[in-house]
Amino acid sequence: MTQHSKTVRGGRPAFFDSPETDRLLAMIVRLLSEQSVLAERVKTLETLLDQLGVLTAEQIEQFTPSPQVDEAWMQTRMQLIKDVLESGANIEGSTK
Amino acid sequence: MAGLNHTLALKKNLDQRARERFTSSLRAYTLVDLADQLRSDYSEEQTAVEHPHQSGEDVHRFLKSRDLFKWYSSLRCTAQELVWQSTLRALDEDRTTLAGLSGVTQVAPEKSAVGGSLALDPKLSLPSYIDTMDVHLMPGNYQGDREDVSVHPGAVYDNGLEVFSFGVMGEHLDDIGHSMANFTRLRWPGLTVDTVVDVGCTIGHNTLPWKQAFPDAQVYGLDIAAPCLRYGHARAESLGVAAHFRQANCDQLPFDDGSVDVVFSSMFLHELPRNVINDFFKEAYRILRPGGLIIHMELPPNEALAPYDAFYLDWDCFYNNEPFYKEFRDLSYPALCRDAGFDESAFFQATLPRYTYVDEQEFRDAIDRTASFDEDTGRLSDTITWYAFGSRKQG
Ligand SMILES: C[S@@+](CC[C@H](N)C(=O)[O-])C[C@H]1O[C@@H](n2cnc3c(N)ncnc32)[C@H](O)[C@@H]1O
Repeated sequence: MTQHSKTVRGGRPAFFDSPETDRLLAMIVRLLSEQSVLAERVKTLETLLDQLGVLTAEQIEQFTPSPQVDEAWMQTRMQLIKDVLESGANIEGSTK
Repeated sequence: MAGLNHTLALKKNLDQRARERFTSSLRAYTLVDLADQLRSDYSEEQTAVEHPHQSGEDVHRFLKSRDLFKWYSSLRCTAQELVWQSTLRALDEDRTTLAGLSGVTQVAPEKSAVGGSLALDPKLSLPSYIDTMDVHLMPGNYQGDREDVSVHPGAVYDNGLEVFSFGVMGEHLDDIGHSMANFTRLRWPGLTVDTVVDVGCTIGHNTLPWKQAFPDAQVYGLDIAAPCLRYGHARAESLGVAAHFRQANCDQLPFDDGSVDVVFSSMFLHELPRNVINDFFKEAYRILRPGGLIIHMELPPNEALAPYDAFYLDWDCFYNNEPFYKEFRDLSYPALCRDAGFDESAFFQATLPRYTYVDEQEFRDAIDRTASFDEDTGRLSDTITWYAFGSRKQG
């Protein structure tokens, strides 16, 4: 698939003392965008399931994971926390 | 966000649509919520000062080092980049909608289902300023690379503008065109309008409303960027409106002396170097018949604005790749018309509510009032008012 270039001739400006801060902000915003996309996909599914009579919104709200499922999810959560908070740990001078 | 409402609209999947909704919301948040905060913080700080700022430059210098300004500006640039990125992605993924539109250079009215036409001029020499900077951070600018035979830059512009404008620019992104054409119709009921030329029309979104307001007129859309015109022609066909798209430089308009009733432009002058603006005005004067009208929808001139409002609009010049924007807005618009040959007494200006959002009486009332300037003038929001100026050729 050919991709159209995202390069902007003339560039875009930075505003903070370090341009890296602008870059980080752009990344956070992009993540926020993906979070919004995912949330809307979940809501789409829930709405359709409800409309088709498969599940009601109430059933979804009432859901509690079984102890095994709860344990598995906890592992995943911990892994996510480590993955995110420990990334960048190799950066010299950053908090270990 | 309803999405584009014609057959050329790119097909977007659920995630792409959600991404665009997000970008629109982010823009609304930045341009409304954050911008309001920036303004109110500023006025609070400035209430009791001994020497209030005299100009937009003063305000800019003062705010530049403020955290909120950095925050607002950085987010605004990021939102601007997201506008084009989501559109480019849709363009990469949808290979069918625009297939078959590439390579077209001439379409005669007889070959068009609605009587419109397209005439590109592959020999036209393009000015160099269009390649040096991608205006408003739009990758590829209006023309793509110079050999671009596709409609892609037009599609990027159309789909991007839809996200960019967060629903405030009309059903087909055409409220400016409707507002200006109907302003003309209502303000000069006796004016004969047989030929209208929209210069710098891009994809013709504000050209077509002239045909809708004046169904018997021949309506032309001119631009220098072939891919946008190619797209604009296909878009007009899809919407069933007859318009004639011509590739031309505004410093040499392909019309005989005295042959045109209305020369119109929208958001165009601020993207031109000063000498090109002058040349364009002279050309407009030449092709107008005596009694003909020149009307430009534009950003309001700095001289009419309070320092903060001037600063606010000039932001684009410094941070959104609009190199000519401030220089244009610093000009005297009456002098611009006068220097091209228009009689000084014929100068007019107006600030108007959006025609397709208000009822006709409210719009008429605004026509009867003298132009008034405030924070809504030309500032994209759901309370925006459009600014227009122009003149009539004597005779
Ligand atoms: C901001 S766009 C105009 C937008 C459009 N009229 C609207 O109402 O939204 C500026 C347009 O001017 C065109 N342009 C730039 N220089 C030009 C020139 N010298 N002659 C004709 N068109 C030119 C660009 O290709 C671009 O399509």
